[in-house]
Amino acid sequence: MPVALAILICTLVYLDSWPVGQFQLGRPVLLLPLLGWALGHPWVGLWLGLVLETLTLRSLPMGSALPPDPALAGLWALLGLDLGNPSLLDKLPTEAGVATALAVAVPLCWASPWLTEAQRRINGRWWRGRFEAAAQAGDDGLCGRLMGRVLLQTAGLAALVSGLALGLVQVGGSWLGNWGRTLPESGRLLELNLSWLLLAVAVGGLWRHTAGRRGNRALWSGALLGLVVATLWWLGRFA
Amino acid sequence: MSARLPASLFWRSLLIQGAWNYQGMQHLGYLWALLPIVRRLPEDERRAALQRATEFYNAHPYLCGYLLGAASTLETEGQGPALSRLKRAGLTPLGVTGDRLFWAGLKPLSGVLGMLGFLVLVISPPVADDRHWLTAMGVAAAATVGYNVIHVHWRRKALRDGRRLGLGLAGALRELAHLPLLAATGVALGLISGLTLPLLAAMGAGGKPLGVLALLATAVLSWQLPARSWALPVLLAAVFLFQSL
Repeated sequence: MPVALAILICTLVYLDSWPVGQFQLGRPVLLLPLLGWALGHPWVGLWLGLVLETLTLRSLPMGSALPPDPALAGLWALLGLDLGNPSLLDKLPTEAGVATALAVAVPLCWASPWLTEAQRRINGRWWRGRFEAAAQAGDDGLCGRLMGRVLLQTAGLAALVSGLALGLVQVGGSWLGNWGRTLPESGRLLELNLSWLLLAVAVGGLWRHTAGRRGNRALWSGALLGLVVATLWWLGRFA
Repeated sequence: MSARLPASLFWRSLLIQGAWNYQGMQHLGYLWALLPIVRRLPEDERRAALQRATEFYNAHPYLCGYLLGAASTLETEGQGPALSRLKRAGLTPLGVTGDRLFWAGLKPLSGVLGMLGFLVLVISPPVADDRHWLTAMGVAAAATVGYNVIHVHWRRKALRDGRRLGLGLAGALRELAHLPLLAATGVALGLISGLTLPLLAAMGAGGKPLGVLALLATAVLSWQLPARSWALPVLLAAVFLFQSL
């Protein structure tokens, strides 16, 4: 994928995440599997989407809170590792590609809110004074034009940071990928791989978000239903 | 009020967080959304209306239409000075209801539905072909579209009710906390979350008892650990360490 297109996608998804609309167009469980599939790395996109979406479901953007940004982190990881021809993901076996993408994306998820923090501080220190001065002067025309400038500046900052992040993912990902190749095959101990363990961490967090530490009737009913379905699935698969 | 004004208010309400900052929070987005109303006021009232609009404002972005709609009615009727009191009364219930309904309810629910789609349609079959992938992506897309249908419905309803009620909005907002949709979303999210863990444990471990136990133990630890900022990174680090053994 061309770098410019990757940066454009990251910028649009970032704008939708809080300044414009919030239609959740970049939600990881939809966008990352779709992009991964389109780029020829469906399993990388799928695992990134599932793990990031579920890990951050309980982080809520309430008030001035800055929760992790799974959409941007997932995009940076997937698109950053896919840049170049052949890309790093083309060179790695699927499982190593998934592990590398997750190892890059999970820390980025917690680092990405700094972009929003910076933008909100710019809004407070730079744009707020201009808006308020225009309102004080009764200049509604200037108030109208200022919002366009704020959005343009927000998009510019998001594009700049995304460009840097994609470069960083290239460097860090290639180091991690090479290191990963020297490790024994992932998941030998319990025949589990990293993705499933991360998903288990995430689902535990979801239980906590849904029903606290003691659970509730709906949660336990769902678990019972899940147990029946899982048993039927298991019987059907191994009969 | 002309027919184009409600549409203009709706589109502008999408940018309510456009210039969010720590001092006035959404106040600049609120000011920008109200500009079409301000421009229709007599020249001598505009400056006061603009200054009122720069007061602190922070509600849930999807429900901001309630106060925007009420503000458009009050400013047009020359009752602008009453707006500050209405804002003070309305911001907290709008924030709390929106956070509970959307951020803590419908958003996780649609995310988990999308995740279950991939788990059942792509991961559980021995071989997943393009048809499986497209169906699972369709499920995730349908969950996101469903979320947005409800979200846009609430944005429009909020704007319509706010314009209709004007100052009467304060009383109506108290009823928002008892929406049946809030309770229904909580039950649905509980059921779907409960369903996910056994499926995950069975499918992830491929039926191997030790693997099932490891997945269940990891999930239960994550569930029961104190909800402090260090708990999740520590657990993630433990998982990485465990995996590299």
